[in-house]
Amino acid sequence: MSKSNFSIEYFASDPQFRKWVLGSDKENHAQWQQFLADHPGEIDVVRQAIDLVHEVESLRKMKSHEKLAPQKKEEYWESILAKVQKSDSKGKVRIIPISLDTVGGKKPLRRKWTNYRSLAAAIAFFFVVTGAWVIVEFNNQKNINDQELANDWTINANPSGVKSTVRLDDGSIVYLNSGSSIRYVEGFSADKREIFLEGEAYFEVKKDSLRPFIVQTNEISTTALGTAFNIKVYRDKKIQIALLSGKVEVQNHSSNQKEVLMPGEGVSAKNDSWDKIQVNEESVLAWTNKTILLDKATWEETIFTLENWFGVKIKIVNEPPGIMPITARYRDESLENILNGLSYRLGFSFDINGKKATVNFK
Amino acid sequence: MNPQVNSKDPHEFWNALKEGDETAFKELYELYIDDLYRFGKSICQDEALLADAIQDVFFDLWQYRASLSNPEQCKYYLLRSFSNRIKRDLGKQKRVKEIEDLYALDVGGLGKNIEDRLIDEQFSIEKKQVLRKAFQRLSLRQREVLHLLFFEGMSYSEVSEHLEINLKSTYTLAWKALKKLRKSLGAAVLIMLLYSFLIG
Repeated sequence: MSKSNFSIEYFASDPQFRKWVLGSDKENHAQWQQFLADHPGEIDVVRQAIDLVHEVESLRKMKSHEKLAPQKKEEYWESILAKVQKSDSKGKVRIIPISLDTVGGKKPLRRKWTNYRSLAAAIAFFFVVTGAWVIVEFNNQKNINDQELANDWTINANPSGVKSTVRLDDGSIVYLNSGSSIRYVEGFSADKREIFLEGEAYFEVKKDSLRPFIVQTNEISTTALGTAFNIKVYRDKKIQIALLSGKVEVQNHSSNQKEVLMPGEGVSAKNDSWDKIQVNEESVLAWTNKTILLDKATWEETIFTLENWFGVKIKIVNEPPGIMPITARYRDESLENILNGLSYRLGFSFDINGKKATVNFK
Repeated sequence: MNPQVNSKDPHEFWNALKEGDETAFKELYELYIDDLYRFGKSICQDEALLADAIQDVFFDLWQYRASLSNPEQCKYYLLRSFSNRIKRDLGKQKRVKEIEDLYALDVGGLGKNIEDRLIDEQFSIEKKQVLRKAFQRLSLRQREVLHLLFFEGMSYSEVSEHLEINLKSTYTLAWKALKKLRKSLGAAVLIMLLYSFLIG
C-alpha cells in the first residue's frame, strides 16, 4: 500500500477531480498538474483514482442504455390509470366541476346523478339539515372525544360550484354538494360509523347493524342503521332533516329532544326551535339531479343558492326592499339563463364576468 | 441527457398536475419513467417489485396531487419517493439482503491497471459483466449513493437530502461505496483473468 496522505476514494469522490478526469473541466487542468508536481508521491494513487472514475463512468454509460421496454411503459401506464380511475370512483379525489361548464354556457357533462335518483327512489333514507357554520365547528369540537382526537381525520371538502362523490370504507356512498365538507376517521371505529357534516350531502348507507351510521351536525345527530339519506348544513340556516325512506333517529344533544322519523317526515331546527315537517322527495333530491329548486325562497336565499351552485360571487347593486319570494325550478341551466329569467321578473340588468357577476336594479 | 427534458418545463406539468390535469400527469410519466427505471435497477433487481413501485409512485402522485409541494427538481422528488417505496417494499418482503447474499464471497482488493488490459472487443463484453457484478456486490445504500451522485449527477447536498442523512455521512457513504466497488472490481477482474487463462 502506498504511504499516500490521500486515498484513491478521496480523489474519486471529488466532483472537481471527476470533472477533470472526464474532460469536462479544462480550466482546472493546470491546477491538477500543479498538484501532481507538488505531490509526486501521490501519482500512483491519482492514477488509480483516475481508473476508478473511468470505471464508474463506464457503469454510467452502461446504465444509460437501460430503458423500460415501450410495451412495459405502456402497460404500467395503463395500470396506473386503472388504479386512478378505481380510486376516483371510490370518491377520494373525485371532483365534478358542474359550475365551470354551466357558467360558460356549455352543456354540462352528463354525470351519474341520474343513477343516484333511481337509487334514491329505491332506498331513500333522507335528511336535509341546515345549520350555522360557526356553530357546527364549535359543536364538532365539543363532540370530539379523546379517542377521536388521537385519530387522523379524513376530510373531503368541496368549494362552491363543485360536487363530489365519496365512497366510504364501509361501502356507504356520500354525494357531497357544493360548498360542503365531511370529516371522518378512515375505517371508522369498531362500534359506530361517525361523520361530521357541514353543508349538504346525500348518504346511501350500507347496512351494518353492529355499527350505526351517525351524522353529526351542530348539536344534532342523525342515526341510521343502513339505508340512504341526505343532509345539508349551510351557515346561518335552519337545520333541516328529511327522511324519504327507512328509519332514522334525530337527536338534539343540548335540548335532549329526540325524534324517530318515518318516510316523508323531517325535522327543521334552529337553536332551541324544533319543528316536525313534511318533506317532498323531489325537492329534497333536486340537487343530486342538477336541479335548482327554489320554493318561496327569499332573494337572499336565492343569491346564496346561485353563488354556491355555480361557485361565483354575485354583487347586488341598488337592491330594492321587499323583493317577493321566488319559486322556480332550473334543471341543468347556466347561470346566464337563470339570471336572464329572473331579470325579466324582477327588473334588473346583469353582467357575468368569469367568477364574478353583477346584478343591477338601477 | 434526455433531450425531452430540455424542450419541456417539468414545473409547468407539475403545476398543471396539481390542478388535476391528466395530460400533464402523462407528460411527467413520459419524462421520468426511464430515469426512475434506471435508478430502480441500480438498487433492486426484482423487476416485479420495481414495476409495482413505479406504478405506486405515480398513483400516489395523482392521488395526493392537491397537496404536493413545489420541489426544485421534480425528478429528484420522484426519485426520492420511488426510493422510499422500493425500500419499504423490500422490507415488507424481507428481501433487504437480496443480492448481497448471492455475491457474499468477500475477496480482498487486488489488481489494478485493468484499463490497459481490457482493450479488445471480446474483453469489453466481459468487462461489462465485471462492472455489473462488482456494482451488484455493493449494498443497496452504496448502490443508491453511487447512482445518485455519478449516474444521476446529483450534488452531495442533494444526495444528503434524498437519503435524509447529513452531508458528512453522505461523503462517507460515497467514499465507502467507491472503495468497495474498487475492491470488487479488482477481485472480479482477477477471477475473470484466471477463468480466461484456464479456458484459454
